[in-house]
Amino acid sequence: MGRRDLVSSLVFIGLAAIFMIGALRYGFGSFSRPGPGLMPFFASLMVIVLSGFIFFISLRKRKIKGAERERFLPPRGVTIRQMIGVLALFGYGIALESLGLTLTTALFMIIMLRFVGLKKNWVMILGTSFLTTLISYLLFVTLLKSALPKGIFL
Amino acid sequence: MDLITHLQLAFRVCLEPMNLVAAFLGCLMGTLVGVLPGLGPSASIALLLPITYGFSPVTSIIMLAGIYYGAQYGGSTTSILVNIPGETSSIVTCLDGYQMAKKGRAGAALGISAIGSFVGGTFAIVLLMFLAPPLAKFAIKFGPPESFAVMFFGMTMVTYLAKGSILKSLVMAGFGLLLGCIGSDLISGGIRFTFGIPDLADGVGMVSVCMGMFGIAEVMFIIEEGIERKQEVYKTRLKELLPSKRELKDSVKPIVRSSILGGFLGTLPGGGPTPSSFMAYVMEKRLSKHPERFGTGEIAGVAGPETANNASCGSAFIPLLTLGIPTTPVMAVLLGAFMIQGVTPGPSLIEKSPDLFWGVVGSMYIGNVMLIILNLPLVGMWVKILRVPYFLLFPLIFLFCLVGAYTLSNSVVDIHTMVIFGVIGYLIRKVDYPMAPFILAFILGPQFEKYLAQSLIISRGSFKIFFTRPISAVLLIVAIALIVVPPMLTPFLKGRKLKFEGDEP
Amino acid sequence: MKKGLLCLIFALVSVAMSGDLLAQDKYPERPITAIICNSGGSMADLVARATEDLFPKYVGQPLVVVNKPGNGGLTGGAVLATSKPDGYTIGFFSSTSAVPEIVAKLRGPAAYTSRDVMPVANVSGWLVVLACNRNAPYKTFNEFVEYAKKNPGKVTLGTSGVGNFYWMLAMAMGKDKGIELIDVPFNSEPDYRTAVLGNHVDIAVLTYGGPSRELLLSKELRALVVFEKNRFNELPDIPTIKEVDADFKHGTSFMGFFVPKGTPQGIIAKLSDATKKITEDPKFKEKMRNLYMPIMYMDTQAFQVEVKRMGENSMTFLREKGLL
Repeated sequence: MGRRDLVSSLVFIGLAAIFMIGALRYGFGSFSRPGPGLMPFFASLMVIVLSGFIFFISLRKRKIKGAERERFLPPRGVTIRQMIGVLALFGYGIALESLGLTLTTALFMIIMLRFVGLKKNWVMILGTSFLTTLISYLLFVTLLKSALPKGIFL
Repeated sequence: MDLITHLQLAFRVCLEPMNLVAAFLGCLMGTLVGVLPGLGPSASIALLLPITYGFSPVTSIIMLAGIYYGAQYGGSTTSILVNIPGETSSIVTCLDGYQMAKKGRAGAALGISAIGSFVGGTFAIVLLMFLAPPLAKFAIKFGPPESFAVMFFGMTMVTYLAKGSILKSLVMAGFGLLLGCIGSDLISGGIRFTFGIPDLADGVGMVSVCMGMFGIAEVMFIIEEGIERKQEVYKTRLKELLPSKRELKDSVKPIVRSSILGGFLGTLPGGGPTPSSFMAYVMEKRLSKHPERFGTGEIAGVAGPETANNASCGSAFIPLLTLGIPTTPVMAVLLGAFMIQGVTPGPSLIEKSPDLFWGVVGSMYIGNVMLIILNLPLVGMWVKILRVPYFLLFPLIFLFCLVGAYTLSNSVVDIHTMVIFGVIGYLIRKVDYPMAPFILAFILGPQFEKYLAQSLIISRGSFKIFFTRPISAVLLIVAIALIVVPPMLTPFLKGRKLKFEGDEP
Repeated sequence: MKKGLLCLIFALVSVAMSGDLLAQDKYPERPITAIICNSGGSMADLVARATEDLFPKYVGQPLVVVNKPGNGGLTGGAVLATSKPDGYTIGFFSSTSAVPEIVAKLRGPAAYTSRDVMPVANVSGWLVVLACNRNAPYKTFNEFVEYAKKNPGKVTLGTSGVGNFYWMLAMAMGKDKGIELIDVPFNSEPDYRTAVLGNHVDIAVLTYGGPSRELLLSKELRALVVFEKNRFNELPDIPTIKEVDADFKHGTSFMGFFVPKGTPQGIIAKLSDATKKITEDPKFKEKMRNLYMPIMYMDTQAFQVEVKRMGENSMTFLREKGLL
């Protein structure tokens, strides 16, 4: 637990520092016309100072409690599935406007069911993907008239 | 008596068959739109505008307004079932609603949400009927300094939002503020922190961030915990579909208080369902006898916000109809709908078009009744969704989020934002930092900054403006007192330690 | 051999051109997207939606209005500037989005220039009035100027952004009269209209239509001067800006259709013709009456001239008044 706080607080300090540099460049303006840098400066200052506290507190706690070896990330297999999921989500965004709603949705469902849900039954996978795609189309395009990309297929 | 005549007029108009149908369609559409994450009432109202051209002004407004408050009923559904806020006004409902669902109390949460929404909405109609002009006049008094005071109040509550370490809450709040700074700066007109990405020129999309941090992150956690294990929690204890007697009793005071809060906040410019829901949550936590239970599935944490957001929807009609002031972007679209029909809301609306005003009032009653009749039985259906095997449910959740995010502004940038913040949300929870303060600061921060800057420009740099004006002075003093006083009382309260580390027992 | 080659080239060029012409001929084959730089419910948005209805009738395909507000109108402009010039993405702009250089001078570089978007046809314009709270200590424009001179640095003006043409109208007036106006930025006109109503800012430049008009007619707000050549029929006692400020040179802005640079002429002509018919359609006229927005159709030529004039005037004005 302590180790997580150590690393995370340093990461936060780093991130906030980037904002602080930007804030200083944007300028504070004056009291009668506050500048763009005012709010980011104070916000990043708060983050840096408080993360600093957390850092030092967890530094001390580490000495008192001794090292806890709790695994941060889940086991390999699970992490891979999470990553596939995330990549598929990104992929959906990238593919949507070129491939269109139906094709992207179908592909997405197939990937999710097969590689993240780890199902092996292809009939079920393809059938479900087809149905989902159909329902999404009917719901979003036909019923709700949302303007979703047409792409290659439909 | 005047009131009787008005009520007669109201019900005569709203009970015309055409108007009844319009109300029903609006409410149905609104519920659907509210349930689907991403798709919001303003988009659907705008889409349906052309269809309403053929109808009379009254009928059109009845339908479009139905979409608006219908969406507030439906918005909590996905928050409770799968931790995905469909709109920003349903974010707070995730905090306790989802926890209730995890404990098998999804039905109760959905039920109390519908009940609270009904009470809140009805309360707002009452306000609209009796107190519209005076409330509107009072709301006008809220200029930048007063709105700043309200935001200040909200921001000081940030540490109340989450359990555990105050330090961590504040760090998250700081990041929320920073995220809110990305985009255009109102005062200088320049752009901040976009790192050259043009799509960020308008800031990071609020709804996408929320959908990602709550919904996507939650799914990633479930993948981690094991998809197979998930189903068991939901299969058991689905019996009680409605709130228990005790839960109902615990909800009474929150509903009453939140109706008043939401009804009032809804009349203020910049008020509206989202700030109302946050303030209601914080208020309930503050006033609760068991604040530590918030975040674990406390029913007041669902009843309060859901009541407040519906109340504020209804009361938003007060400034709209009496002075033509839209307090939120959705109200601006509704105002447009009025105008294009040839009715311009303003001081003379009630006199010039009484059938419009009272017809809308009447249909809001009818609409609220329709919605609760629609939503309560649906609770059973929604809860059944949780029975879908998780390996199928989670891709569907993802899918609806993806499409919903895209429909926000027809852009894949919203999808990417959602996914990025899904990962961020996952990592943040992994390191035990709370997300709620981040979201609150992200939402309120830009308003906070805007009102502060506007006030200082008006006062030419003097901070006295906040204290020479009565309303803002009172609010600020109360807010400061609420921060300063409790720690001072701590030495007198035995057995309560100041928590700095989040050391849970 | 040479003759053959020449024929081949000729044939190829003809095919290429006719492909283009064919596209123009068949245009439009699918719905057209219109980008609006204002949020839903704003006056520009409503005028656009008033035309939206009639697109199927006069253009042949539906129009889909997409709101891309932000950055003072530059966000939407940038989107149009980077869209494909195939006539399926058009913009519905006023001066700030059409001539971003104006705002860019004051706020920092824009992502595109006025050369990236081409005028097609104008639809409407803006009726503009300067208003104040009804409890203000001045009842006429001249009294206002006196007050402002006696209280330098105290008069606040509500605006929706530095550099947009409402801001310029007010600032021009201020400079001409030698009074100092503190501009307080708000997100949109309804926001600063509410602020004037509540007496949080002293004056504001409003669109004479919609709720602003209602508030002025019901005397909740007081008009001081109108920024038009002639007095408003409904406000006969309120002077025009020329009456009180002979030096005033600035005009008000337009509201019309634009396309990305490179869109074929044939498509532009079609859109322009269709727009003319739309503005003459009784249904459209009725909606505009409801909104109280003027119909000011200009065909492509005239509109190009107007956009150019507006741009040059604004830049000259900014320089002259030392606002650059």
